[in-house]
Order: sequence, then structure tokens, then C-alpha cells
Amino acid sequence: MEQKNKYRAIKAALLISCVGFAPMALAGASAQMLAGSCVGCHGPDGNSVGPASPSISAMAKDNFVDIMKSYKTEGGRFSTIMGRISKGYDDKEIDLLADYFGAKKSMATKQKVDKKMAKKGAKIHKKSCKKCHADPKEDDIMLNGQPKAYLMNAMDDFSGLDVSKIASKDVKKMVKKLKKLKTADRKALANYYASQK
Amino acid sequence: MTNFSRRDFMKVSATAAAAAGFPAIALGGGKKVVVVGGGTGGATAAKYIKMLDPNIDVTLIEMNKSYHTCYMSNEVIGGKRKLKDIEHGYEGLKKRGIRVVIDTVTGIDPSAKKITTKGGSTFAYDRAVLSPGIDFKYEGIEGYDAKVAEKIPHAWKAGPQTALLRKQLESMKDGGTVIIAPPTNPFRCPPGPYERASQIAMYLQAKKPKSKIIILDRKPKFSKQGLFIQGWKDLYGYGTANSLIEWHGSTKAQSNGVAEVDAAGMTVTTDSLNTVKGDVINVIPAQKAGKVAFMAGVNEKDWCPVNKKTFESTIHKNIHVIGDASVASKMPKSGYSANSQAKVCAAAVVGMLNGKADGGTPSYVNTCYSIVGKDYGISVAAVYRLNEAKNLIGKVKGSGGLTPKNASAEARRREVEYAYSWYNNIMADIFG
Repeated sequence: MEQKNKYRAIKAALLISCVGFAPMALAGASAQMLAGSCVGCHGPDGNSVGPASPSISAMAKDNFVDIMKSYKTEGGRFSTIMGRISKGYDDKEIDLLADYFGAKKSMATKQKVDKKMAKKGAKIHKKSCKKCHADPKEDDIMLNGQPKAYLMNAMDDFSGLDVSKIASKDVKKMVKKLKKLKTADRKALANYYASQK
Repeated sequence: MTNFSRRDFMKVSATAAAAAGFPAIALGGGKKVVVVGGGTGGATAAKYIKMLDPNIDVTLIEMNKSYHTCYMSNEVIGGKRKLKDIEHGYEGLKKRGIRVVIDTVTGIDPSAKKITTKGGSTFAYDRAVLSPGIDFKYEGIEGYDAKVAEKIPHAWKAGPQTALLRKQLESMKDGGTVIIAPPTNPFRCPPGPYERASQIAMYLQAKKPKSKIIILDRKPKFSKQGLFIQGWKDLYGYGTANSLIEWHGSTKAQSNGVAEVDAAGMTVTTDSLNTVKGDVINVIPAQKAGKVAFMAGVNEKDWCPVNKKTFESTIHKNIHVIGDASVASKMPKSGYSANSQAKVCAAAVVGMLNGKADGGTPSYVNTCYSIVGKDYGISVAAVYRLNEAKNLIGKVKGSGGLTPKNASAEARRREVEYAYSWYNNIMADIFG
């Protein structure tokens, strides 16, 4: 009898955890609810008004997820505040956020652009960057129409990395190129990307 | 447990399904929500309720034609910004189909579910959202009241008071003394008084370097203290004889809180009976929820207890309270907290008007930047979730925290850029 009761109890518990309570446990915060916490700094629908925090709309999912996870990792992507914020979200939530912002239409940040510098930047882009940064649906989302200050900060961060410690061949290449670029060239590039839609 | 019947199981399933939030038929149509207070919390709530369910009739009642944000007002006091740079109107909300009424609320009847105004209008609601902000407990300081505040400003609600304090600093002689008296806890924007001291110090350093700021504090410690002190040492000679800022905290033995203000003599007297003369005096009194909360009777002593999942008052049903006036522990009373609470509240209001128990699992955030000097920003952040068992909005373990003490100069410079980015983006989020 006792054995039977035990069996029943287990069965009932399983039933609850598998069928009954499973949706409850899964019913975390919705993507929209979670996203409400991002837009204060990254702008409505993830389109930043600037001057420095980047837009996060229309990002490729892998890119979004990788960046968030890197922020969470000790010694990962440099940040002032995102390291502290990213630790508030688990993998499932990051996934939801990636889908949510990924589906939003990207809008260029309204900002002043120096046309002469942008023209110079276009040349540098064509010569040094375009080979990899060519697909507007993928990584270019992180460049085109982004705030100038963000672009400068990002170039600054990448060029400060130790090449020997970078795993990705492509990133290694980029960092080497960035290290060679003068500040004026970086400014030109920032103006060029900022001018793109 | 052993006799777990099929009927019980069905019950559990039904509850679970409800909690999972199946798409509801738009029952919100024709339902009325009245939001009182067009500050950060109220404007955000009005916008998000309308966005989540356009069928809900949303009215926002606000006493002023425009809103001046309290955050960034320290930059107006320091001279970096103009008052109009922190002023925001309601055109964006009107365009979204929200009825914006500029009027003063004179009565809230929770049983009749009606709100009356000075202008003679009556507004019926199915659910009301109150975001009344703060009011001052002038009675705690002898010789200080709303009238005296026109000479000795608190400048803790942005607007004319902010402009007045700025004007007084501009007319002060080099070598003058500025007194800042921060309030006791809890109060709006815990790091605010110390950011204000920093912003004033930045101005004095450039224009009136022989001057001094004396902070007379009834508290033994304050928000972001380590980072502020470090910043003051780095920038304003803190701890030396020539420091632009002196902070006098309190101990059990000696309180340096301001007990009395003499507006004619321009002095303040502390609890420990020290009298200090100032050329500019900024007294920030202790605080309580804004008047509207008391009108509705949703307060318990000074603040408004709420269900932290829905922000519905635990005193009166169908009335939600958000922002500084609510007890949303452990979130601080900040602008971003109010904005975040408003979104959680909006989801709950829409859910409840559509026949659900709440708005689903909430998620909350707070980020608070302080600009200590040129290219010198610091911050505190946290991501929160609801701990229903403890009825607390608790920090997600491992998340948040302060700017590291050893942050590089470049990181501090960026924190200023991000402070401005936060301001611009959250304004677009609230009023756009």
C-alpha cells in the first residue's frame, strides 16, 4: 500500500511538473516586458536618439546573443554598464530580446555629419572594411546609421585589444587594421557610417 | 497529494493556462483609464496602456502645461543646460490618442470611481493610475515653508525653483558659501543632492573658485558615497583645506541635519545647534507622497503601499500608484524606476481590464547616472524581478552595482555620454 501511494505521489508530481505546472514555470516575463527595460537607454524599438548609446534594432540574432553573453563573461566585451545589466538576464531571456529587437525596423540616428569627412570615410571603408562589412542585414546593422560617438568608442575598444588573444581570424584582421588607423581616419569612418541609412 | 484527482488536475491546468497568458479578446474596448500626474511615471503609463490596448480610453490629467524633469535639472543649476532643455510637452501623447487634460485634481472617490477637478470636470474610470510624485514635509524644519522656499529654494521639483537656485548662484560673489541640506531617507533621487553639489562645484571652480559648498546632512552616509568622494578628491580638492565641497554627515552623537532656517539672517541651525551662514541656501525637506495620494486615501502614513506585481493600491481597489509615491522596495525612488514601474503597471492595467489577474511576470530596471564633473560620470544599475514570497522587488543575483572604483578615465568620460543618451532616449520613450 505504502509502495503504491509513493508511486501515485510520484506520478502526480510528474503530472504537475510535466503538464500542469510546466507552462507556469515557463511563463517568465514576456519579450515586450523585458524589452521595456532596454529602451530607456537604447531608444524606442531599440532605435537610439544618441549621442552615444547604440541602436539595437534589427540586429542579427547571433550577434545580439553573442554580445550579451560576452558582456556577462569575465574579461569579455568591454563595457561601462552593460556588464552589470546583462547579468540580469538569463539565456532564454536574451533569446527573447534578440528576437524582439531583431524584428524591429532599424532607423538611423538623427545627427550632424561632416560631409567631407564622410566622403573620406567612404574611401577608407571601400579599401579596408567593405570586404567583411558588406551585408546590410548582418553586421552592418552595427555600423550604418549608428551614433558617431558609439562608432568611435567601438573602434577605440577593438583597437585596444591584444591581437594574440583574439580567437577569430576576422576580428584579428580588423583589429590589426584599426590599430593602424589614425584618429582622423577613425573620425572619417564614423562620419561615413553615421551618414548611412 | 496521493489522491490527486483528475478534477484537481484540471483546476491546476486552467490556472496555469491563465497565467501563461493566452491571447484575450479585446475586452478593453470602451474601458476607461484615468492617469493622474504627467511626470515620468504617469506619462509613461498613459503611453504604454494606449500602446498595449488602443481600445482603452486613456485620459491623462496634469496640472502644468509641460513637465520639467528633475533628473538633469542639476545641470541647469550648474549652468550646463537651460531650463527649456529639460522641459517636455504632451503633444506626443496627444498624437497617440491620449486625452491630455491640463487641470488640477481636487477629489478622488475610490468607491464611486470618479475624479473631480478644479476646472469643474468629473472623470469616471474603470482603473485609475496615480503618479503624484512627492510633496514636502516642511514642518520638520523650523522657519521653512512653501513661502520661504521662494527665497531659499529646495529645487527638488524642477521648474521655477531650479531657475531660482541657478540665478542665486550666478549673483553670488566669489568667496561665497553655498549650503546644501539633503533630506532624510526615503526621498526622491538618493544621489541627487550630491550630484548637485558636484555640479555647483564645477561651476564655482570655473567662475568663483574662492567659494565653498557646505553639505549639512542628517544622514550618516549617502548613495554612491565612495564614488562621489573619490570624484570630489579627483576634481575639487576634497579633504584638503581648499576643498570646494565639505560634507558634514551625522553620527549618533552629533546630528548635522538642518533643524531651523532663518531666511532674514540667511543662516541655518543644525540639530546640534551649530549656526552656519550661507550666501545661497538650498534646503531639501523630508518627503512624502504627492497630495493626490492623500486625496485618494491610498497612503499609509507618508507613502503608498502597492501590490508590486500590478502596482494596485493595497488600500483601494482599481487604483494603481507608481513612481516616487509608491512603496516599491527595493527599487530606489528614481526617474528610471518610475518609468519601469509604469510599464509593469500598464501591462497589469491592460491585463486586468481584459479579464486577467495581472499583466504577466514583471521585469524592472533602474539605471542612475550622476555627472560629477567634466568627462566624469558614475552610475548605479540593477535589474529586478518580483519575489512574491517576500513581497519585494529584488535585484537579480549578480546583476547591477556601481561603477567600479578603478574605472578608467575613458570609462568615466563615456558614462557622461551614456547619461546624456539615457536622458534623450528615455524622453523619447516617455513623451514621444
